[in-house]
Amino acid sequence: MTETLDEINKNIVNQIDIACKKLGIISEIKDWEIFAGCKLSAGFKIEKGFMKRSSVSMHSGITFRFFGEQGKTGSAFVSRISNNIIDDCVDRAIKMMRHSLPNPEYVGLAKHTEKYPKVKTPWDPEIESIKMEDSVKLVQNFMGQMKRDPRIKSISGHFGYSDNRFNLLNSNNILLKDKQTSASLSAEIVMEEIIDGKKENSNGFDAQAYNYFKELEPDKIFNKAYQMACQGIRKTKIETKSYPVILTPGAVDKLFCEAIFEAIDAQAIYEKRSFLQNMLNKKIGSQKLTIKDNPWLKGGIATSSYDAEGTPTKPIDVIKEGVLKSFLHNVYTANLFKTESTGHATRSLSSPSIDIGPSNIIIEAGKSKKDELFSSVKEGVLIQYTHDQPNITTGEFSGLIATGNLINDGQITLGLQEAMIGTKLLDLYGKIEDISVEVEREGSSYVPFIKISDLLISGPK
Amino acid sequence: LFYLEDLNRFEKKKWLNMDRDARLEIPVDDITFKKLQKLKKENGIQYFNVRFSAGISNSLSINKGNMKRAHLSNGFGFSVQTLVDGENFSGYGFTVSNVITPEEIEKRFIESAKLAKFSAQYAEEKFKIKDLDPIKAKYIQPQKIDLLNTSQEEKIKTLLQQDLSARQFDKRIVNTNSVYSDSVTREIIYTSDDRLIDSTESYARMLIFAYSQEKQITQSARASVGLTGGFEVADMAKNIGGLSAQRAIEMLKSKPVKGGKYNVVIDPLLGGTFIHEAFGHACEADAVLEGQSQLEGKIGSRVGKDFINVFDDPTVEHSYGFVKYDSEGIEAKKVQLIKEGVLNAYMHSRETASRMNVEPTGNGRAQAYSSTPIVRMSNTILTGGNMNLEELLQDLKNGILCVNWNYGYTDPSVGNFMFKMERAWKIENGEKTQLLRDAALSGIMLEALDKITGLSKDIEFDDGTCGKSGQHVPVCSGGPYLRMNDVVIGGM
Repeated sequence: MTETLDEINKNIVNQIDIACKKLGIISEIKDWEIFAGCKLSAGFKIEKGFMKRSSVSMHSGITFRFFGEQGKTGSAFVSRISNNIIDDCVDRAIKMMRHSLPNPEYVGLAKHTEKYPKVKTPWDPEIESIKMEDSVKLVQNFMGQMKRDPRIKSISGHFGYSDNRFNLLNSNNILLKDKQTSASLSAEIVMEEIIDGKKENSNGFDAQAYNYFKELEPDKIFNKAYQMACQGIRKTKIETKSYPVILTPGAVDKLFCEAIFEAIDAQAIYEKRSFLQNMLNKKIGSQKLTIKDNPWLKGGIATSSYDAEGTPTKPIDVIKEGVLKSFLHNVYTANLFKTESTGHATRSLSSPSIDIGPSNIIIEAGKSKKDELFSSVKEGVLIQYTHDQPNITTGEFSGLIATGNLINDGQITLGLQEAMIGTKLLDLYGKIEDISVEVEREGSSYVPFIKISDLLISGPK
Repeated sequence: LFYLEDLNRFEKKKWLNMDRDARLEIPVDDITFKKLQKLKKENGIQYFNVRFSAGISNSLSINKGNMKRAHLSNGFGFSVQTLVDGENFSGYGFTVSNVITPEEIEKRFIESAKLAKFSAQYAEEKFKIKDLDPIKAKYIQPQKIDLLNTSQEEKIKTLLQQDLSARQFDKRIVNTNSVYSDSVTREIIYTSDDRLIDSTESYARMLIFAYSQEKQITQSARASVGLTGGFEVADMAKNIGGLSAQRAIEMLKSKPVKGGKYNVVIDPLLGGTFIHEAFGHACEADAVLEGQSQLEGKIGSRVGKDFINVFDDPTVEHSYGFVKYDSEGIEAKKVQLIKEGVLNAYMHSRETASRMNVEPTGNGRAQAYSSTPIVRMSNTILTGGNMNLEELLQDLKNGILCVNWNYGYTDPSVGNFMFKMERAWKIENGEKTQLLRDAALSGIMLEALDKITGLSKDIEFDDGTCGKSGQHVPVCSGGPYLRMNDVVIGGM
């Protein structure tokens, strides 16, 4: 299988070489960029604790992005790799550019540099040679979970891995060829119990996505999902009022990492659609809050020496002791702000859009133990997870506590039903009372438990 | 080629562009299908579904009059789904490739069969997909204005007009993001029971985001139109730029809603999302079989008042949720999910229908050839009642009128649902008094329908995209104004 993936990539590289020579002589193209690659992915789906489906997929593609006079842009993608089809793709991208509108904000593409940090993109040779049979142990892990508790009604989940090859070239002599692997595992447990003559249901879930197969921790995932399901089976409806709140790392990732990093996207700032647009070097939260973005982090899922445009990456302070220190830039927004790209361009294989996104996010740990955070709460709420998105424009959040519990005398007790949170994000960040010393990994974020002094929770009682 | 031969029998005048565009050619023919049947026998497969696809999509993005994206995409490939009905248990295999050649098809079929056998070793369920009568059918989505024959300039001009009308609406509009997308996708589906569907679907959608600012307050709003069809979407989109800007300006006067319990009236756009999220997902038979739906075993049970009727209807032509044939080659049909307050039916794929011994309903949809078909909604509709909005508000007296949606979701296994409304009005003595923002509404599915106390006569529909198991498909939902009591609203 490895040979096949490398062979496909070799064919892609050959086609790119041919295309590059042609592009150099088309005068109406001022700048060009090619992003191409291939990906082998495989995995299985678990239903009711047993295997339902296993799959293998092979994808490839090339995107051409051109810029002409007055910043006019056009791009085209094709998933077939052959001479005449790529010629056709180039022609279509040129036509798109020709009929496009001017964009005076466009200045140029990323420039060649020798100054890349010595950071290796994570690639796991074990994934390159893995066979579906090697993952049987994971399936058996799932099968064992069904016998763990008679209240477990179903366990579903997914295991997957992928091996990627990609190539980035542009007219400013950027030439990057690389490979990356990923492995992921998720589990959801649905629990059912008759309580006071009534059937009650709850669910618990967890997921991990890493670069190395061996990093996956099935037991940790199952235990977390199981514990969450157990904690939610006996539920209560609470009254609307302010409660002291403890946020789990999953909730912190949503309400802090996702919200803040979406709001400091320089494109959002420029377009005046971020609540943090006038807040650079201003206090936006408690002095206890320090957040970094570190693309050089050893073992981080988003670790890389360059971003999706080929700009070298570097670690940055995002929030230092409550003060917002940086926005995230790609080349386009750096030009708008007359600054340098911070190396935060992102993209997908088939899309021409260069977006902005974080690498590895680290919220600095506190000094108190997690248990101390809980024991300091007499009557409060534990928010384990919300699916909701904050309104980045207004900086307000209202949403459902998808998984949460009451805390009584420091102990996690009944699950919450129909409980909703409402807060201004800046109020939330200002009300941090304590941060745990324990830090957990949530995707590419490294996040602690956070205690909020008070938060309005709406309930049906 | 099967495609070219067969197309000659079609109305060429109407679909002139279709037989000219080589990018929609799929190099398979009767020999391919015979070979697949041979492979089925050789590999001990009970059922297979092979989907060949070629698609062209176009996306444009304008930000404050500047072109940010003008992109064309040509996707191509196929997938093989196989089911092994093993000695003890059944298992699926699924393979995907970008290369359509006889050798690659054979290789991926054999690989899929091996994976199916592997899955069956660790499976627990034993089932078969029931054979249906063989058919050969072809469908091409009618387009009044052909998407592939409409020039790029015309598409850009149309989008720019809406972007401009949003920007010029009011000087407090500080930013706009305008997006146009269309796609024409041809899919040839061939299944082990000799069912051959050659279907070409086309979608077009336009979406305008407007951002308003006054003093230190920033607000946003959107307006969109989407359809199955062609560039006639431009006619429907004539006012969306102004509409998004008008909504964004109105929002400057809004205040955050105070969290708590309210009696509410929900408008048709939000009402459609409500019925989709609060009820539709739990009626998907795969969730029922996986033990993840609160509606498991409840067919024939009362779930709402007797004036509640809910349908999933993929047959509404040109709607964004229109489906002629699903991704398993089944002709989609209207399903009554709730009949006079009683749970009447689930929506099915071929697998769930076979396992529950009913007819498939044509709800087995996949986002693309590279995804497996799963049970999905199409156009989900709560039918109307006999009141009008004024009567509903007068009866409400004090409460909240919830308007339009931002997003919504449900957790069918525990029955929670939530949706975020675009805006809301505070209602005092039956009159709208204060515009509210960022309100979220949640509830428990089995309690929610019973809380509906009145429905308006008029129904409206809205387009959207529904996500499930990592796949996104176009859907539409609609309903009347509906009044509900004792609803929890999340706010500041």
